[in-house]
Amino acid sequence: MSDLKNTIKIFHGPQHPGITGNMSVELDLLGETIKRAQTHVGYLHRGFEKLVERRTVVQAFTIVCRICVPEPDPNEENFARAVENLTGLEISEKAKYIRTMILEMQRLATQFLWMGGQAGSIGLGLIPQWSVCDRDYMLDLFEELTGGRVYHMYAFPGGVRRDIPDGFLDKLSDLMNYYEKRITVYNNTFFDNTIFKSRAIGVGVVNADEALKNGYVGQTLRACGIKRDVRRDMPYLKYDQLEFDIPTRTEGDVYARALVRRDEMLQSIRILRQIIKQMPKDGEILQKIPKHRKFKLPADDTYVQTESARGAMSYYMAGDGSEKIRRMQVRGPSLVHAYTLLEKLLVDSQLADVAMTMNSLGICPPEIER
Amino acid sequence: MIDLSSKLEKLSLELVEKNAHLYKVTVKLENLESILLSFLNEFGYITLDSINCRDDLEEGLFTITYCLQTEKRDHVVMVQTSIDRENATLPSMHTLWPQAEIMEREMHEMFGVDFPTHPSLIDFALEYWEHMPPMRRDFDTLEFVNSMNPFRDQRGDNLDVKVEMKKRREEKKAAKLKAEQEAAAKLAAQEQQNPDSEAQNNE
Amino acid sequence: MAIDVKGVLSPLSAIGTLFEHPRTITYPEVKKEIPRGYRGFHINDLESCIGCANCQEVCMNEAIDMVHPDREYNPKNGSGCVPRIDYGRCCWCSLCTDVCPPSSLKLNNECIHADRDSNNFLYMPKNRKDIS
Repeated sequence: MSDLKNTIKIFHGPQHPGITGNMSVELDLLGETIKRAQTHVGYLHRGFEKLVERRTVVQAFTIVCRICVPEPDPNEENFARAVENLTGLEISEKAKYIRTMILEMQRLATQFLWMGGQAGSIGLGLIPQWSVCDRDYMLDLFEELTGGRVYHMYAFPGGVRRDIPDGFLDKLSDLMNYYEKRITVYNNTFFDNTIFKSRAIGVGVVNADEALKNGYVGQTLRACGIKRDVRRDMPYLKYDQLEFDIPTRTEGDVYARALVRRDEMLQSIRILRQIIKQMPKDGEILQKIPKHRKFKLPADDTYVQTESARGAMSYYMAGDGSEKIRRMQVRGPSLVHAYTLLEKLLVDSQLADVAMTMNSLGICPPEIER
Repeated sequence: MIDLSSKLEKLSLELVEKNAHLYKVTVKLENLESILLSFLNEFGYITLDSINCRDDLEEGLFTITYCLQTEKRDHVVMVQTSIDRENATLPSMHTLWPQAEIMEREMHEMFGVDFPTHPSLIDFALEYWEHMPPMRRDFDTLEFVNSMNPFRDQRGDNLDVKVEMKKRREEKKAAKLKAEQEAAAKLAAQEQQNPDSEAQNNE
Repeated sequence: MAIDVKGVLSPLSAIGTLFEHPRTITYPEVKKEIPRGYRGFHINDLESCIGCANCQEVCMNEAIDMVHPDREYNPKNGSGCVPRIDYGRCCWCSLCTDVCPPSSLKLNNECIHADRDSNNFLYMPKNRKDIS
């Protein structure tokens, strides 16, 4: 603590370059070096877990997507699967494929948004403009499929709410070809860029032992050589029948996490191409479920996990025999990353690296405080 | 999982299989710390995924669930225990899993569970909160919100559909009745007129 | 330290995009085509609305009021009321359209609403035939 005598205290945030959402990091600076970091959340607390308790299952489904703004679909999937686990609803083959498809589409969209943030946080202003534009093409497809650009409200307990429109899969297939070309462009301009390399290599290094013990998830884990992915370890929906690799690196720094994300984008494209080929032509999309006042959850609890674009996202859900949900608790990837990890990583790093480190951990503040 | 099941049987605990990737053990509060310790050190559950708290208001309990995963992360074990709702106290697990610190901090704020051995029970998301812990089920969110924010006052013309339906049905009934009465009256009037006209005709 | 030649030169390939056609559209003149299934503003065919208030019941945001319509409506309407939506509260989840028994309440692809008066956020859905 004697180090903290001559430090300056600044707040990095709540509005800052780096992550989508409001979260501040209280920094004690000695010159440009950070001596102590403390995360503060609470700017986005909207009380979703409490709101869910006051609503019927059908009503609650529309707000879970708001738990993480840039990435709503894993939330919907988790919610739907938790309700299905509790009530024993089985979903059809086609609905499973559609849900896998929308999860992968969301993963790509999120990674494009992340790429914009990551490049923007180190001053490469061109990449955000490109990647947000590329993400918009995906949002256009979401608009066509679900009716909404950002909040899809699509994966419903028992299936999905709409069928695939005509010609949608062709459009998706074209977009995949386009994305594959674009990733080479991003390779040239961003991932191989010497500015990015010299800023990111060796910054924010996470070591593997600590990563497992502290419950880090997603790219943070995979960038330090641990091959953990919920899609592979606890397969849900159609992931056990799709071929994909889990990219890993061993360095564990910001650059390694960026490369893992890039490789995951390629894997998502690969998965989507398989889904386009295998998608059943016809079939039921939504199970017949009772009216919203009669949709009752049994007095039981369950725990589901989905691999979001930033790591495993888990929901705990308990019913009590009534139409309302007794308790739904969200454990997103950001909680541990923003507190345990970020506070540790920032110590002895530079002020200019804060935004970059934050972004590479995939922190999403709305999901920390729900 | 037979492996873990037999190990738990020695501790006279039952492992319930929920589905292929989810198992549940219910333990007593006094055994919680030692069982979690053996989960970490002996059974290899090195990751604490989350600590969930559920408010069972009717029974006067908080149900706490620790979700644990092994290094392979191919299944989840829920270790569940119940504590008294009134003076809820739990041992802090931050020495076993560092991330428990932040989860317990949140639980303390949202449910009012006390952790005597916790190093930093400071505010989490709600700063300067004066009411009761908001995630307790006897905290009325609607009342709180209504006391803070007024409802849009231009919406006073909302009608209760059941009342309107009843009203409309009665109106219809009344109209029907009226129509019937009128028809009957008309008929009666006609009948009154008719004998005269018949009489006139006869003449 | 060796100079990373590839890393210095390859980002310069971005200059090539100067000669590409821009991806943006000139908005007020050229409008983006909104797909058919878009969840925009409500439309309500009053000639088939039965005034059952299912939409009001399912709406978790309490955005729907049942009011007497200001234009002609279904003579079989049981309550004489039709939904009016508070767009300050609506989240366009489209649950109200899912539970509508005669499927008269729908979302269409109109989605721009600007007004100086916040009271005009109370939106009375138009008839389908009045829109197109």
